Amino acid sequence: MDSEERDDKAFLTTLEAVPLPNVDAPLFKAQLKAKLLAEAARSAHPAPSVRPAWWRYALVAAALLVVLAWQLMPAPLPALAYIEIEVNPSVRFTIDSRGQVIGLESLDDQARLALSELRVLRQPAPQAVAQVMERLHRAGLLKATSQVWLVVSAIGEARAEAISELLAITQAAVSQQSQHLLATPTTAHSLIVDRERYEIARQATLRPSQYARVARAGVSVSGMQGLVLAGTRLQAAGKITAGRLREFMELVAELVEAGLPEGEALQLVESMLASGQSVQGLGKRIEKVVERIEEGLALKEAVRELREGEGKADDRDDDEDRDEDKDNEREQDKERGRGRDNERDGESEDELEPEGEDKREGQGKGDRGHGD
Amino acid sequence: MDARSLELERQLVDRAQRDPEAFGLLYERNFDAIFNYVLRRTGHIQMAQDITSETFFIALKGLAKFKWQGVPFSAWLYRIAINEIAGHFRRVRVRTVSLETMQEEGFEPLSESDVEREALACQEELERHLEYQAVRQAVNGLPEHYQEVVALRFFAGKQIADISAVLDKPQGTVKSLLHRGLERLRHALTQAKSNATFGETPTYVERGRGANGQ
Repeated sequence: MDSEERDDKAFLTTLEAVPLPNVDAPLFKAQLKAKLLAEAARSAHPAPSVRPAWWRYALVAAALLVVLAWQLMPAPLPALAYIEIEVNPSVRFTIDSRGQVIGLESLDDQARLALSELRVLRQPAPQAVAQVMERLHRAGLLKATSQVWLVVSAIGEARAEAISELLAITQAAVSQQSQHLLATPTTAHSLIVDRERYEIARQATLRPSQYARVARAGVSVSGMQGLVLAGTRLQAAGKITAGRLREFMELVAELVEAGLPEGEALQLVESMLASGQSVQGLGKRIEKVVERIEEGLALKEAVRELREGEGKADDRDDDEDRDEDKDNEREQDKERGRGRDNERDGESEDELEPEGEDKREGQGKGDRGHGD
Repeated sequence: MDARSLELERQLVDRAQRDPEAFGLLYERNFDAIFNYVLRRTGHIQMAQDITSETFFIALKGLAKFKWQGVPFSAWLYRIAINEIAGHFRRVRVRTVSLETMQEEGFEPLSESDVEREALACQEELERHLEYQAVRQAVNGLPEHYQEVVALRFFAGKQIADISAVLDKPQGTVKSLLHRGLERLRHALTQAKSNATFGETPTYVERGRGANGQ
């Protein structure tokens, strides 16, 4: 036992010589303390009961009134469509067949913060859209340079004309309100999306602008489903993270747009990511190859170049990408710190035409959809 | 902790059961130790923040029923933290997440949140300690009852008596658990060393061996 104790002691000594991280987190500490003290104060002083003696009668009367009002209320109309607006933060309205708002959902934290306590239920869609834009503008999220995306998707068996009309009036509201708020009319990029694609896009958590990028490349419904499945496989295998799913889809779209059949493009990107390449590294290589295709390189040759490039300078590229990623993140932090955090996702958006030039329901090139 | 400090702490705990400000003092006295312990156990800043928050909230909630038993207040906090860590490890299979992966997964400092920037700096600090990372992984591979003893000894620098107070186990039991835990840990680290295909041998393995006279 003595020798065992000696062994333990010696091993412990060596373990104790290993330098341990000792971090100081004063901000987190202060934040947590504030929360704890607030909680402590709250539980130490519960709100006193101020119920008057007759509160029970009042409660019964109120309940009766609610039941009465409920019975007198007209039956709710069925939902007609979703309208999604993306100004970087995204929101989704549910509209009934009278064109009134019956639901408003913030699709990200920024929108949630900016739109807290906004009441737009039962308002006409254009009025509600104008109010949302006003709030976003007040929160500094809508600027003259912002791109606005507008997506309308039918719910159930809505008529195509009704959807087109809804899109038109919403678009007019966006234009009018941006003129009022920004002194410049902003034409929203508008899309009508069929239900099937809308669901797929939602599943893939694509924003309108991102979905438009994929759809514009001409990726079909089945192609989109394939993309979502492949993305899920890659995520399950730990080859990409959830945050990179959209970029993965954009890589495939880029190749499809360059002329590669969608099945082949999907298989190529999936296999290269599965072999361990990073999304950013592969993105750069695809960008180069697409440039070469535009300069006249044959598709077959381009695919061969892309495959041959695999493994060559990948490790170095990936390391550089990661460094670059970190630099970018830091740079973005600074940017955000200055309150300029609402102008992302610009890359693909510039490539799309505004509404009117290419708007139709269904599948194929020019067809657009969305979900987030 | 000497008898006088222990008595002062008892009085502070007594006050904290009625006065939120006094709980703030208890928090100030214990935060760094608990946070660093949890961080060293998990190797993951977000998880450490969550578990530390949860630990103090549980303590705050349970403080009214807390009965002073003559051991430092921190022993109770460590016990809560240990339970929370074990809960987290059971709920999710913990993996080491690199800074890069955290950023890829959308954990990025926002303009309004210096706390998140601070968290990233903490994660960077964690990732600089490669030897510690290897030891942490080996500790996490031990059965839970060994993990607790070894981690308190190694990550929190606790002596047998302190560990006994935290885990509410007799000192003899703690001693033998520590002995067996260290034996397994040494074995795991040696194994990790022999499995390594390249890179420098971690110094703790070499030193451990030399010290054992093997």
